[in-house]
Amino acid sequence: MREAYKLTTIEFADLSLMALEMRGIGARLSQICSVRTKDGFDLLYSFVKDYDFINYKVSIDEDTEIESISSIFPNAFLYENEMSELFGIKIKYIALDYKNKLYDIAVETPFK
Amino acid sequence: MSKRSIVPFGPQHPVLPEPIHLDLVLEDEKVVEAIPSIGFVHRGLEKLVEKRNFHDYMYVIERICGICSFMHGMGYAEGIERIMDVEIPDRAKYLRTIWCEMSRLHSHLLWLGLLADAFGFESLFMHCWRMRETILDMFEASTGGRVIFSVNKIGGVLKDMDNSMLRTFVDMFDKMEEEVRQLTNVFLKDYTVANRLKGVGILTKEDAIINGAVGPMMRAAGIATDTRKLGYAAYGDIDFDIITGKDCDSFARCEVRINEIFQSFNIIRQAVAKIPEGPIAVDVKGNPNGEAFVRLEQPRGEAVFYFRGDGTQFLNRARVRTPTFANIPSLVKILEGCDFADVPILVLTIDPCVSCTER
Repeated sequence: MREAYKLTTIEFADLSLMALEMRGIGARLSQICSVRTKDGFDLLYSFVKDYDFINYKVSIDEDTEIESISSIFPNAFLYENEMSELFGIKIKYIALDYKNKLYDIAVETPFK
Repeated sequence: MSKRSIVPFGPQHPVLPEPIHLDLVLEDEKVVEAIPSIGFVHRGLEKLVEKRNFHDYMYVIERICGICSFMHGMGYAEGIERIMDVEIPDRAKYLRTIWCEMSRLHSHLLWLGLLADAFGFESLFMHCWRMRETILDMFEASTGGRVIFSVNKIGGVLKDMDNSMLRTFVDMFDKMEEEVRQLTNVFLKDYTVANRLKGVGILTKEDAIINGAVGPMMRAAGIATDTRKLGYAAYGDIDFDIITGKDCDSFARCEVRINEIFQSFNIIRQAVAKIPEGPIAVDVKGNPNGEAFVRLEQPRGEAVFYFRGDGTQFLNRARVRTPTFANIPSLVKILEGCDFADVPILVLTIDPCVSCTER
C-alpha cells in the first residue's frame, strides 16, 4: 500500500506563515530539501502530523533570499545549512548558521 | 560562581563509534550547551545520481549505510516504482519485509552491544554481537552479502528464499529469542544498567515533536508513531502494535529497542506464515518521469526519500533524509543540562549512524 500525501505549492513569502500553521497544528518538521530547476530551485518542506505527510513546494529563482523557519522549528537549522551550502540558496536568520562549513567538501555549492 | 569552559568532543574520540563533533559548553561538570558539527566524511552520494543510470544507482544508494543498506535500496526502489507506477509481486513485498526486519534485528543488537560496551559491560557486548553475527550469516545465506546485499531491484527483488530456508530461519529466530530474553533481563533488571540510564537524557513528548525526533527516540517519549503502519511492503498484512516508552529517558530508549527486537521476531514469523508463492519481480521498461516521496521505518527511525526524474535515464534529484540527521537536534536538546560524564551514553542513545548522515 502506497502512502497518499499532499504536495501544495505556495509562494516563498508565505513560508513563515505556513510554518506557523504547521506548528499550530502540532506537526513536526520531517525534512526540507531542494531541487535545482532551470530557473532556480524548488524547495520542499515536509511535515508530519500523526500519519499525515504534508508537503509544500516553494519555487524560487537563484537570487531570491528566503527567511529561515528555524525560529519556529528549531530542527530546521540543519536542513537550511545544507541547502545553503550545497545549493547556494540564500537564507537569512538561520538560528545556527555554519556559514557554508557544515560539510567538509572541496567543491563550492556542488548542486548549483 | 561556576567556571565556564568549552570542551571539543570528537570527531575522533575513544567512546564515539563514528565521527561527529560536539562543542560542549560546560559550567563545572554540567553541559549547558552543545553545538554539533558533522560533515567530516561527506561523500556526495546524492550528487552521483546525476551521473549514474537509474537502475545502477541502486548499488550506490545502498552504500549509504552498512547497517540499513537493504532499507536504503528498498526506499529507492519504492520511490522509483511509485514514479513509474510499477506494482511489484506480493512475494517480493514479503521478502522485502523479512529482510527489513532482519536489518532491524541486527541493528538493534549492534546498538545494544555498543551500549553495553559504553558502560563497561564487556561480556554483554560480546553476547549481543555474537547473536548479531548469526543474523549476518542468515543474510549471507539468503542474499550472498553480509553488509551490502544488492537484492533489491526496481520492480521487486533479485533473490528468493525457498520455504525450507524460511523455516530454518524461523527456527533459528525461535532459539535466538530465548537468548535475547536472557540479555533483556540484564539490560532491564540489572541495577548498574539502570543507574547509568534511568533519568538520564530526558526528551519530553513536546521536545521530541518540536525537534523532529524519529524512531525509538520519539517512541520512547511516549509518541505512538511508526512508519511501518503506513502499510508499505507487506506491513499492511502484518499485525503488530507500536512500542512506546513512558519515561522519556535513556532507559526508555533502551527498553523500546529491546521490545522492538521481539516485535521483529514476531513480524518475521507472520511474514513467513503468510508469504505467497509466485514471481519475485516484474519487468520495468522506460525511464522515470515525475517525482515521489517515500517514507520507511528504518531501525533508527523514519527515513524520507525523494526522487525526481525527467524521463531520461538519469534522475534530477535523489534525496535521503536519514534518521540520524533528524535526531541530531534532539541529541543537542538532551545534552543540555546533563553531566559531562553522561555525554558518551547520550550520544549513543540516539543510535547515531554518521555514515547515513554523511550520505
